Amino acid sequence: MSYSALPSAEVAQDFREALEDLKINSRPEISNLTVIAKENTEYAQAISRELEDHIRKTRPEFKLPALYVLDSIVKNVGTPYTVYLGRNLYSTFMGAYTLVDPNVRKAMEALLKTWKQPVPESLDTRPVFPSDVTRDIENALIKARTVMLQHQQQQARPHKLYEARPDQCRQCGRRFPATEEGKRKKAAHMDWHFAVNTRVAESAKAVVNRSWYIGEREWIAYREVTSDNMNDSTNSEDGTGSANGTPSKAKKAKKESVVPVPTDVSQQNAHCPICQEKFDVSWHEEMQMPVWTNAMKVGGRVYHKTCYEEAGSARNTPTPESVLGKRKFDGGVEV
Amino acid sequence: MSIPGLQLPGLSFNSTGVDTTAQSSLQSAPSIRTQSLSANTEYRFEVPFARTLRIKLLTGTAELFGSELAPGREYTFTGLKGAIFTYHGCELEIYGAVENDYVGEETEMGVAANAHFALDEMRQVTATNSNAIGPRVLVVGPEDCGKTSLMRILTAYAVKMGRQPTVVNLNPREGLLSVPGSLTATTFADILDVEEVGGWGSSPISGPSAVPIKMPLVYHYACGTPDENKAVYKALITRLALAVTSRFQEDDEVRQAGCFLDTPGSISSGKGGSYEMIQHIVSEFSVNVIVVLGSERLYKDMTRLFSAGTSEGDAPVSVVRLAKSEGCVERDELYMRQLRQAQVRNYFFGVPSAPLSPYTQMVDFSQISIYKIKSTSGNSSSFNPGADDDDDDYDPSSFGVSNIYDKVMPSMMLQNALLAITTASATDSQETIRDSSVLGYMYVAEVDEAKKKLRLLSPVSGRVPGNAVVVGDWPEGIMDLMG
Repeated sequence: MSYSALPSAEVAQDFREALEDLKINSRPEISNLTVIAKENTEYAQAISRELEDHIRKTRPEFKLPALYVLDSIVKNVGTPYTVYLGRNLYSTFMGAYTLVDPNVRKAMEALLKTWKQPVPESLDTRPVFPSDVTRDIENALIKARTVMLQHQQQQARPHKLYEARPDQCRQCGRRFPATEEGKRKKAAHMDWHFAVNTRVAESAKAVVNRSWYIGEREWIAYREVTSDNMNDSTNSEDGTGSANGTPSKAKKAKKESVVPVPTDVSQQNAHCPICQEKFDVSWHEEMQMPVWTNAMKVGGRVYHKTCYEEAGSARNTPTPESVLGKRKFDGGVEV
Repeated sequence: MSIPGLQLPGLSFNSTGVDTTAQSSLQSAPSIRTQSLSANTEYRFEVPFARTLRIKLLTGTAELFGSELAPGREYTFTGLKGAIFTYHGCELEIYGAVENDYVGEETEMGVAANAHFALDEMRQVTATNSNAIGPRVLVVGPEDCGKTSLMRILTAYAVKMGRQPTVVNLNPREGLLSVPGSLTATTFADILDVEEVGGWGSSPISGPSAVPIKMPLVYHYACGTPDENKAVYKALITRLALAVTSRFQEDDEVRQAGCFLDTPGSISSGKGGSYEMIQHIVSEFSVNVIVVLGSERLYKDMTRLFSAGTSEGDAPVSVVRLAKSEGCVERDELYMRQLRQAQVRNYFFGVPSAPLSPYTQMVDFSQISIYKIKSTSGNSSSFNPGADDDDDDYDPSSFGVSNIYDKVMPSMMLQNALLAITTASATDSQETIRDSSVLGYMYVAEVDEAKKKLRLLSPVSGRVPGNAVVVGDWPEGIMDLMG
């Protein structure tokens, strides 16, 4: 019938042209395409074909927005698009999946997940696409990931492990990229070696023993200190911070108040006499022992520093003791 | 005190005879020699305990289980079966006594590297998604198929790329940054210490360390195999998973890198068609990658159980089979016992290049609360007169006690035993004691039953904590720890 053949081709062409302009994830453009599809359900077959062709042919970076158009149409319009698009969904989806980068893959996996469920806030309890359609794709994805892991290329890929990090520390073999950040990290790393070597030399005759392990809560709260992030974490100005304890001058700038956790187990669960709460424990890099944070010792008792100061300011006439406490503990640590 | 490893190779032999088989080949004085390796080959060697081998990288690049050697620096190894691999070719200077050394042309490093890059691709994706957790990789396979070696390579590569992977050791047969019988979780953010016993690094010490220290979370199982007390083993897996998952929630860098799970060979045996422990681990840690080393049957079983038909909502599990490395060697019982002893000795005394000084102290029997793990496997007739004696006493605190521990009084049975000092109080429930992490270990150097006193070797000075103490038959008593 020539009468309807023309509009079909025209509608399809309109739709295709709008699709070809779609290069980013743009909500108005995707809505516009969805409206075209919705108002022309009698041409659903032609529109579906245009959409499938576009997803197949367009460049990998434009595939995700086009897939979002597909998603929007099947969720907002539903049949007959779910039928037409469902038929070739496997090849449409997998064809794109193999060509896109990992982030887009992740987005596609999220998309697939929503297709296994009903349209949100819809009365229809059936999934967006029938489960046999989505199941085939899911199985293929598992296989693809497994193959990716299993894939044994003939030549190994040491490049990223070696050539991409050409700047090697001659003391320990660690490598750094030849970037500004790499240079900064290497410098911090070399400072760290210097500080540790100095300290090893200083403490050559010192008795060293293994420390107690940290507990669950401290381990969960612990953040790894590496030989190149010491400056960030211990706030040292001279760059000699260290995981293994550097001269404590590195601590000068830090407004930190900690008290070592008592070795006497019966005292380890002590409460702050002011708020009756327990102390938070963390591992102290320099002292190499667990400490109570936000803590200060005054007259043989340990208080939360903040509690103690608040109590002091409430009285508004600081006792000699609290003044002493501040002066003594603001600078750092009492061991 | 003689610490094996301090002796000069070829000059003296320990009269207790650590190594009789190799003596003939070791009699000749070692000489310095140069070993050239072409690209993609590896130098495989074995250094007995009580011997040392020194290796220096002269030219090119070289790595030991994925950790790169610094050029020109001398590395010292003791009690190691290892392989130095080179991607680019290298020249090594070697000094000391080795056994069974040869150059391997067929290496599996390409396989390990590819596995690493595939995992790292998964990590890149999680870096852009604030809730996604990096790959949770379970490594399974029969004993001595290279599971731990593979994990060391994958960990070293991940660290090299700036990641912070967490390594969980579920194999009580040997410790990881701790003693045998322990189960641990450790995040690695900086280079591994290849010279340490086990090759991972050192847990915190009171002085400086030339390689950044590692921070393990330690639980004590006190048995050598999961079968001996399945309930406790499972509970500890749950506990470790809880800690690691909590860390993931709070620490972005650690979350993105995911974790590696090392396992004992016995859980892969599929006895009676059951993979009970593997299923438990997969579910507790939400494992999404299973690496099967070697065994094709195990690979098929894992594929059947985990890669298909995962329940709704669960992430699919990728099951991958990697070939067992050609360089893999069987470790006989003598070697394993020496390795366990070396790990315990290392805990108290450190390594020759960084020795530690433990303390000895006397403790009254009454000062210490000891819980001995029950063996629930098959015949539970482990001969234990010390514990039996106590069973005759009425102990109100043990009324209705669960199937976890027997509370025991110190006796000669504790001679040479390793005591795990938990973070639980002596009066806590047995479940709480089981679920508590470990503060550290003490070694029973002497039991004086007449005076009712123990002489203990302790890593730290000061009063022995009054915490609950856990003990078991594993690791076995160590006779010559005090030299």
